[in-house]
Amino acid sequence: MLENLSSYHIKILVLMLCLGIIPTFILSVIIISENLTSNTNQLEDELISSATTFADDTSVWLTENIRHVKDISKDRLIISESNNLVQGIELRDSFMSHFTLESKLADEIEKNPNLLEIIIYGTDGNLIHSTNYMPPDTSFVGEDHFLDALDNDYGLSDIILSEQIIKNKIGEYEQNIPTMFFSAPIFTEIGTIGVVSARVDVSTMPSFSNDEFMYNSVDYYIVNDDGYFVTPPSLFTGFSESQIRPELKLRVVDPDSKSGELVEIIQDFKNDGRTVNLDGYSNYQAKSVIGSIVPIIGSSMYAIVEIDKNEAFFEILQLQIWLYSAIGILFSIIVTISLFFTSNLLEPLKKLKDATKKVSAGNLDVIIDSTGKDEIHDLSKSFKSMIDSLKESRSLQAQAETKYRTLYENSPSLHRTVDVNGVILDCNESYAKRFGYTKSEIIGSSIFDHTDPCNLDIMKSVFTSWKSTASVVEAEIWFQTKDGKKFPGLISVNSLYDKDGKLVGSNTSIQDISDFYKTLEAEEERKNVEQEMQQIKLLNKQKDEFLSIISHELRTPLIPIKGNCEILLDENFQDKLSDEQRKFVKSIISNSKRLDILIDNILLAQKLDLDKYQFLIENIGVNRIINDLFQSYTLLMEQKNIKFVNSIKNDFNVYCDENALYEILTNLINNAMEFIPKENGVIEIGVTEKNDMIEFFVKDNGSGISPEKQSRIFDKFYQLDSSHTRIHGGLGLGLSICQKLVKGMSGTIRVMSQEGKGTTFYFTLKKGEKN
Amino acid sequence: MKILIVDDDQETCNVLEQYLKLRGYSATSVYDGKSGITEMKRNHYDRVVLDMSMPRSSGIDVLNEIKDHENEPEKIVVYTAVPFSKDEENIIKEKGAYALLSKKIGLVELTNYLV
Repeated sequence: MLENLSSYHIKILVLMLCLGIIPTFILSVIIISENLTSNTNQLEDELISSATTFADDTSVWLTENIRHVKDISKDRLIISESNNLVQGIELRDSFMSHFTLESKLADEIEKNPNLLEIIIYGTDGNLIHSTNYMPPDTSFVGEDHFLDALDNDYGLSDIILSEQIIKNKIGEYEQNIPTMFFSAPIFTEIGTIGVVSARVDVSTMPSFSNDEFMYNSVDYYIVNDDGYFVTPPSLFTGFSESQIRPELKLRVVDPDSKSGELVEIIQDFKNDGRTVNLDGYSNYQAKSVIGSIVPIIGSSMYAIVEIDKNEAFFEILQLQIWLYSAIGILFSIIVTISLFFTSNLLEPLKKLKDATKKVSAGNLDVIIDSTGKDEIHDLSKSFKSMIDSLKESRSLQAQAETKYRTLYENSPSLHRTVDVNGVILDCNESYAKRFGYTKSEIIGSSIFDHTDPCNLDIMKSVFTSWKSTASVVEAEIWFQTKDGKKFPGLISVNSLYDKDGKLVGSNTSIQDISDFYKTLEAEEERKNVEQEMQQIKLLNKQKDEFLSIISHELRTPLIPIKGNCEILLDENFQDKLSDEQRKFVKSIISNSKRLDILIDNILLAQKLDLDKYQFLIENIGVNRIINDLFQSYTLLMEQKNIKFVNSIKNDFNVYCDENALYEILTNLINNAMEFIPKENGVIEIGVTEKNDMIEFFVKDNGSGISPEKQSRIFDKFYQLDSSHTRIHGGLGLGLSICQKLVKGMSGTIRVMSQEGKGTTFYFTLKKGEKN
Repeated sequence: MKILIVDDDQETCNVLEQYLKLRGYSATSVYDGKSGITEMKRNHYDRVVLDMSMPRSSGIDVLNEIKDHENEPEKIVVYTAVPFSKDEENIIKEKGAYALLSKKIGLVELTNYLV
């Protein structure tokens, strides 16, 4: 599990620990230190108080014993008897004195059982008397308590183990018991004569009462100011004679042992006289204890009460253990919970991290759980939508690439891919086809091989310019195909770069502009044609104007010609002209009229051409028109021996301009008259009904018109035959006028003719309503 | 009956004048529109033969000028070489012309319109 921990796990864990453990730890330390302080204080108080009591009790015991010894030394009997013995009296007297002392001291011992033995020494230290018959040591010379007693008021010895005969019901036995000497000087008028020393059973010393302590390991003892035991430590059981005997002393701390703390403390105390709370020193057993040392008044001894530190602070220790266990448990819980939560929390993040790794490696097929509502899921959602966008853009890119590839391959434009040396790396089908090579022939060849040799310099300069600027503004180049044909093209370039941005080649698109050139030529031609048309139109206009003037000017002289002829034919001149002359005049008039008609036709044709003729369409009866026509032609037809036939049986109404209809019929009749034979000529006029149209016809039995000429007979100024112009009059306007007039009345005109048999002209007009 | 002929073509005027005189009418000719107006305003004419396209005031100008003039002739016959449509004829008649005749018609016919 731990190897799966990410830095986030550890960070979160540390955070949780900081939040959970550290306050607990601080709290624990506070609790412990407070407890410790209060416990220590209490303990110290207790120790001081106990030690003080112990010292006081001991002091009282000492004082009592000293006082007792002093009392003995001041006893008159004892002084005098002792003095006697010091003076060196006679043996009998000496014996008496010893006896008296014996008796007297036995009384004293009787009074105070603490006193195991009383010895009297002379000032030289020699034994004078002892209650013990066989005192263990007879000389006190150099002994501290002896010297103290001589110099001061009293003296106390160190502890000494003494053989003591114990008598009880069982019998007598010897026991080494700790004792000490209390010494006091014996004064007389002549001065100090000796010393009284009493051996006191130390075990009678008031014992330290440890009732008030709840501790088992209370140790108490008395030491002197040199650091030697006065009483054996209460807990020290191995306090044996053998250990003590050589010097009759036991130092509280072995000088060779590591710790000499207590001695130092006592020394310090001796020097400064301060009461010392002994907090955590090493005692005679080099054991860590706390205790109190109190001087015993009236002696150079100290009462010490001490407790094993472990026991003293057992509760605190327990508390500590409990608190540390609690912290440990808390720690475990926090770690577990943290791991659980962080794993739970970080699992989606981990998944997300794995997903991002995959995505960055290019694999977009990752599954992301984006359900849920927390921030991580929001992040997952964002990430998912990012991947979706990436997928989409990748798909778009793929599509675009395919599209581009397809465009490239299938484009009608010519595409080639070249490197910076002008070598063709790829091309599309259109390119290969246009240049007439196979693709494999093209790939690897130089672009200059496909350039019109006349354009090589331009191509080279374009290529050089592209290499330095990476762009080509549409350049026009002539190319050359495999079979040597040349065509113009526009080059445009899409430069290609490597990932460092270095130019590596280009996709060149060539637009074949041959068609453009063709179009240009065509356009030029069209313009020329247009110009020519304009010219023709202008000429036509000038011609029309010319015709108009000519017509007017031609007619004007006709008026006096005709007028003068009319004057000549006037009755006033009847007698003045012969019949023959009159005939000539009439001929002049008739020809003038013909000229009039010709002029009329020219003017009418011109009007029609300029769309200046205004049709006045009316519902008109056909019969009336035809009758008028026949009336006006009857004479002429008779003269020319033409059979003029009206084959109209029923009357019809037509929508037409009366003048125009009259003009059409006149023109067709005149036209027919020109071509019918001189003998047996027939002209027939008729109508047929065709749905809502009325079709007129003018039929002749003339020479007919060849099919190829039929198509042109409605053209203006068209003459059927140039030779006819001489034979048949007219300007070639009649049929053109007819066609325009029919068209102007929404009708159609056609011709049916057979050479040698005759011609029929048909034209339609819209049928009118009968009145 | 006094007849005025207004036509820029002198030959036309002459032949008309001669024919009308032959028929027994008093006929005078002027050769442009402006003179025609002046003459008509100066002397009263019963009939006027008026050409349309003339220098110095056309036939239309003459019609416009003389219409409602105290000397307005009883009949003005327009006699022109230019073909005209029905509409044109109506307009000219509205302007006071009695008839609109093509110069194709002969003197006899013209005289019929004047009398």
